[in-house]
Amino acid sequence: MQLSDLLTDIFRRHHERPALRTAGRAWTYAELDRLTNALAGRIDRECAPGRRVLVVGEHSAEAVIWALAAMRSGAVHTPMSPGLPVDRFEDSVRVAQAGLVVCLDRESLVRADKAGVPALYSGDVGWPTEVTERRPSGSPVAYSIFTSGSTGVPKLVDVGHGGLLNLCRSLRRLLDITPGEQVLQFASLSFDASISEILGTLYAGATLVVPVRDQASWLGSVSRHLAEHGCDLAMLSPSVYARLDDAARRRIRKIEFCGEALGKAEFDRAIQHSRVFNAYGPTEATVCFSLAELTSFTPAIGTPIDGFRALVHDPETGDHSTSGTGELVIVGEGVALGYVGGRAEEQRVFRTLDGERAYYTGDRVTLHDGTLSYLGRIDEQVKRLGHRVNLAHVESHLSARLDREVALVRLGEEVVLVTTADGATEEALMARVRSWLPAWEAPDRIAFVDTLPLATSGKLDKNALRERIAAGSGGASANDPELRQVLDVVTTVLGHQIDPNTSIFDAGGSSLAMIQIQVKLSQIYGEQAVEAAFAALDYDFVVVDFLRHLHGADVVRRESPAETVFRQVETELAALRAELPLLRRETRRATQAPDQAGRTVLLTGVSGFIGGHVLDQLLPTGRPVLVVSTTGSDRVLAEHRARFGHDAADYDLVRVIGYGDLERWVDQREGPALDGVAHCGYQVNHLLPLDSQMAGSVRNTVLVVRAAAAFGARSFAFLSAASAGEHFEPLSAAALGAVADPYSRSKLICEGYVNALADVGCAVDCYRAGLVYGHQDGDRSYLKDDWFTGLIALARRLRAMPRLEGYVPVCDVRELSRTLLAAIDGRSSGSAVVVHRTYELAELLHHAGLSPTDVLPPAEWFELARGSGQAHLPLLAAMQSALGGRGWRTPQREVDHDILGTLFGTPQEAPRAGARA
Amino acid sequence: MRYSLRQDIAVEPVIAGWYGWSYLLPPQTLARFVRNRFTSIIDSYLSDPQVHATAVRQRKMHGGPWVHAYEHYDRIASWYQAAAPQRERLGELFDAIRQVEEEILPRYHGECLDPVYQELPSALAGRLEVFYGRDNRTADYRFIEPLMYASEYYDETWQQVRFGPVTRDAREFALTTPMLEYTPDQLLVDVPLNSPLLDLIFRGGLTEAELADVTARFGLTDQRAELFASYFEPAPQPTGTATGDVLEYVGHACVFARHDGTTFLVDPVLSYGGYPGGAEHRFTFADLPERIDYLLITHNHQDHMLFETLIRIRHRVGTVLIPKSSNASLVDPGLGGILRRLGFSHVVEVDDLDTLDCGSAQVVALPFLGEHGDLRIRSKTGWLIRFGERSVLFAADSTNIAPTMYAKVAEVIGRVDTVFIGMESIGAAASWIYGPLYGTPLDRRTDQSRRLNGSNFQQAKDIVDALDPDEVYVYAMGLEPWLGVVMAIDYDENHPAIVDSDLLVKHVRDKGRTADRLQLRRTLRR
Ligand SMILES: [Fe+2]
Ligand SMILES: [Fe+2]
Repeated sequence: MQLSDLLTDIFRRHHERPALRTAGRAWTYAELDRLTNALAGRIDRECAPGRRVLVVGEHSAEAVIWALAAMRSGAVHTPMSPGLPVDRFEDSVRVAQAGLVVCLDRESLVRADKAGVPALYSGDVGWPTEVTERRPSGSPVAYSIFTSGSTGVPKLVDVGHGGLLNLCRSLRRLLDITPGEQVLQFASLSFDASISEILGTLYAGATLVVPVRDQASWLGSVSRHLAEHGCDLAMLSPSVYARLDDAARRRIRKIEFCGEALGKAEFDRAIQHSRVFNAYGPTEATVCFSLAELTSFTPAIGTPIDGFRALVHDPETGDHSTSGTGELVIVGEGVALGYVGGRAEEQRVFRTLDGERAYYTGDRVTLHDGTLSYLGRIDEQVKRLGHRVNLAHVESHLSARLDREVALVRLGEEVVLVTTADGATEEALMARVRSWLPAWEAPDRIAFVDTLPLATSGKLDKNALRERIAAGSGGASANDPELRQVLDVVTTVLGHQIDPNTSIFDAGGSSLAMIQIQVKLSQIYGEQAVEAAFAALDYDFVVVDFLRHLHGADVVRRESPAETVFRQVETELAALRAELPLLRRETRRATQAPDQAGRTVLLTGVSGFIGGHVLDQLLPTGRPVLVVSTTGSDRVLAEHRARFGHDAADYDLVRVIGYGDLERWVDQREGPALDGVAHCGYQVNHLLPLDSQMAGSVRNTVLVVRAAAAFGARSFAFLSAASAGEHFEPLSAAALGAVADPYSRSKLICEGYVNALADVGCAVDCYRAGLVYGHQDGDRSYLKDDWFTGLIALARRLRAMPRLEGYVPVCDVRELSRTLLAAIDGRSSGSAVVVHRTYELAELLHHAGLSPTDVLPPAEWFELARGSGQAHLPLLAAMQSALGGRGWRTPQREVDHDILGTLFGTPQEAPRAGARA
Repeated sequence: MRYSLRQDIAVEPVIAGWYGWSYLLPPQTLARFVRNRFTSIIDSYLSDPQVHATAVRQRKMHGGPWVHAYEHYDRIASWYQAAAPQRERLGELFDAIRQVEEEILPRYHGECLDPVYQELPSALAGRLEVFYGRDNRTADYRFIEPLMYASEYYDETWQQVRFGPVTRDAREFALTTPMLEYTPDQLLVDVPLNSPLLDLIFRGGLTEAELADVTARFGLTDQRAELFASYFEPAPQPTGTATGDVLEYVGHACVFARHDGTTFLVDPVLSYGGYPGGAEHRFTFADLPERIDYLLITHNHQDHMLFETLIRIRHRVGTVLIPKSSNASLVDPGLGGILRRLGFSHVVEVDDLDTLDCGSAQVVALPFLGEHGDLRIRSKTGWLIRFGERSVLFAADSTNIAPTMYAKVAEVIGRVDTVFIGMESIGAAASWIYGPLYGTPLDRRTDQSRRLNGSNFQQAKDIVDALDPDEVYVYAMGLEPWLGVVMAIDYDENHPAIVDSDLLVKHVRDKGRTADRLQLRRTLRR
């Protein structure tokens, strides 16, 4: 059946049903019938039958109507993208030997005039109503679609009529399209997905909906339209789907993925809201070759639709078979008639098998029991380190793991992972990627781009990406002074010049030369930046790659949260330094009882594990205590009493206030005289972002510091964390950057504030404690959120232990409390890292009842833990964050008793192999 | 009171100031290493120590030409200066070899080689044989090795040992750093590596007088004598000797076996004891029996022929079985000659499929292909030991590059019950070991294409399928931390060697057989 007859039949059948809708405008099938018939007549008047009519327009109902008119006309419907560059426009007109160009915009009309081809402007034609006599066209070509030829010159696919009815029937049946359903018209008309959108919808009597273009981008407009109106069916590429707003995705009832291989990430997202279909089909096989509904993710692309059959072709033997793995060959009358333009050898993909038309797709598939699984493009198969690697698979795997869009692009022999920057450095991302993939699947490098470009087809535009990345790496020109500088260094070391794109090893350099270059470059760009860039280069040195990585690191450094925070802290610290002397001078301090003068201790964190112990030790001293807590209520003391079993009378000299009260006192410059401050109150949460820590615990710390100044404290003991680092250095962005997690960073910042008290003559001690244990029965609840004991418990349940780097630094809570109190008693030992005892892996294994064979690499262990369903996920995340660093590096044994052993109830000392008596 | 060396005191072999291993013993290869590797290491270090400090810090650079003790600049500089006469003497030999290889031999293209003997430089005159290679056109040569050892270029006064405590399992890479006294607890002693004094020390149980005698003969007085004495502790009570049959993996490629009272040790590499924090249950020197009747060496790579272990166990060893080498070339010096110079008196060389009765067991030498950078090296063999009914194959790093070889071997030797196979499927480039011996360096791509690879999954699978064993053990992977002294592998779970060996283990287990990748220690049979 000819396309024009098919359409006539469709219009007659559905008649008064709504056929096409856009904002404020709708057409019934009958209306569309009359309108497109009239416009087809207009085309026929201007264009000889069988010649191609180029329809230049998209994303509007008007363009759809003209497309339908072109399909019904005696000419061959040939949609063309309006966004082409002038040269490309002229090439396309020439290749198509167009008889007429229908322009939906003025600009295209100007171009058509320049190309010397007859043209119509749709605005001039308007909506004619007169019905003209139509002659049948008789052309074997139903429509032609532009595709890119290998020479860069446009090429057309001529599609015949044979597959159209099968296409329409299959779409209706498999996608379950019913009359009245709303089907999204998204595709550019120049892309043949629009053919299945239009014909599939109309054949089933459903309504085609064209969103109104009211946003800067078409995609944005569609996203907004969907969020507002939803749709019953959308046919989109996974790349487009990934770019829709979540609100839009939720309102798609059925999604048919087409145009690209569907990855697991997109499937997982889609299946939450929609019925999911996966279609596969090249333009050369009338849009759609196979289609399947997916309820779980598989690379399956279904079975061939009516009128097609599939064979797999083994390129090595030349055999065709009906099962196995190989190049997919599509056989059937829906196979296109051939290419127009392009090189002669490209025609070879069209052949005849057993008297039927066949198309060699270039896609690798597995055909099993008639069902097809897509493996990737044949030319996306690469051999690396002796293994056959399918880049499409790796890409899909990575985008699922990373939960964002990625592309693997080949640049010569190099495989580049391209993705959008999200704040992580290339090195960090590469480390993760490497931990998931075997060496031969891992990309050689990572390139960040602002956005991943889409081609008109809605597919990821890998050519554009490739150009962009290549430009990025080759962009440095020899005149670039920076490039010059690096090349000079290389020349000095090697004794001869090298090409900036060549590995120094290929240029005769040795690893010695490489390190010499590294040292010299470090003098110019800084040791850390250069070392990071070298690590990213995987210790192969190519000048342009080095510069790229160096700048990548620069960009990240500029954006680094550590620097931003440090600037903020510096400003605040300057203000604090100015304020503290004023507070000390101007505040009126009151003491109630003369015998207690100057003995009051301000204590925070009493409801916490350590603060509770400090108070426990403070009570017998008979000193007045001002407890500052977040609630400010006396319940804190009741709980403390229950926990430690004190008498109510023990708390006679203890007073509880809230941080709000304290702030008021400081601001009013009036409050009790203090002797010392022990600041233990801090929210221990390794997952809290730094911003929250700044607004919470850090702000409270600043307040306590101000109070210490205002109320005359002579000493201040601050409970910091060993994870803030082993060395006490002045606060700097670099020092902050060296600390892995936000909790430890915030402690480091607090130390900076606390140290400001030295200016007003207050003795300051910061104690960086390791993991603090020594829980008694009343303290057990504090272990609930403790990542480390959680980890050991989980290891015991899983019978597997992650390989921990270095040692685990542990403190005993009573010892630590004594140290803190000694400091405010004037027996300060100075700021120090407090680690009473370290534990090594062997001992931890003992405590978990495990053996060395139960040790797993951390990544594997976390996978196991996550999969086991036994782990509390936030706790697991805290473990992961806490294990991010390199571990404690020096063993320590200041106390004799086995702190962890007591805690875990395995008091016996872990066996230490080879220990001498 | 009797005294024995403390368990944690390492005695490291030193040759010409460097960590001693096979290619530093024969003078001709020592000359090559000193000039082609060590000189450039020290020159670059002395001109810019920062470069070495930077390199050592980076894990990826491990095993490269870096001085690890980079902070001891003055000490290294003065040692280097003092060693100049030694370098000069070896330089004569180096130049003579270069002259033969680059000037004399290339002039001959098939004509009579007699005149060559007249023009040989004096350092080599009377110590070489020349001949044509396979193409009958390219002249080649071999060393008459015993005469090389007898020459002025082999000097036992260049040999030393360095005493010092080991504090943890992991050992620092030792092949690129001069062996000097860097810490107060290290002691460098001038003594030939074959000295019976060393056996006396390693055997232990020295009387006060013997210890004093050794101290004196080492020329140690005052503080140095005191330090030396601190390496000893009261001799432990001898424990009863075990006698039962056992097959025990003791780390890397080292396996111990006792069968009907005869003891065997393959590719000895042992760890130390007596320091805290070591891996539990590892097999240390202290776990060895009094007597090792047969010591078997598979090939001349430093992780299989570790001087440090060899000299320490020498006094216990009866016979050493080694692969026969007939090349006497630079890249393939005779293993027998090396072991004899190292103080082993009873060395037996065997060739492909030779069979020997060794006490209660029978030993068969099996061909070993690959893993030697396609160099003409014969000193390599697999060992098949028949313990009564059971046969165990130690294939070491043999690569199954000729897929039908093991099938053919199987036709001759029959089924094998247990197979130990190395699967370091991506090894170092050949130049990492052999580079200093090459006349002209290979370009990088060629060099990289000739890696010292062990079997990958497919190759190992073919071996296993051909020999049809009940048990397959992947070993010799350098997974034990103490191998760091001579190896530099940075394993993670994605390392091809790990991936490949995981696949093999799975493959064998899927067949219902036993398989595992061994690490640290494993008792396989009692
Ligand atoms: Fe090896
Ligand atoms: Fe080897």
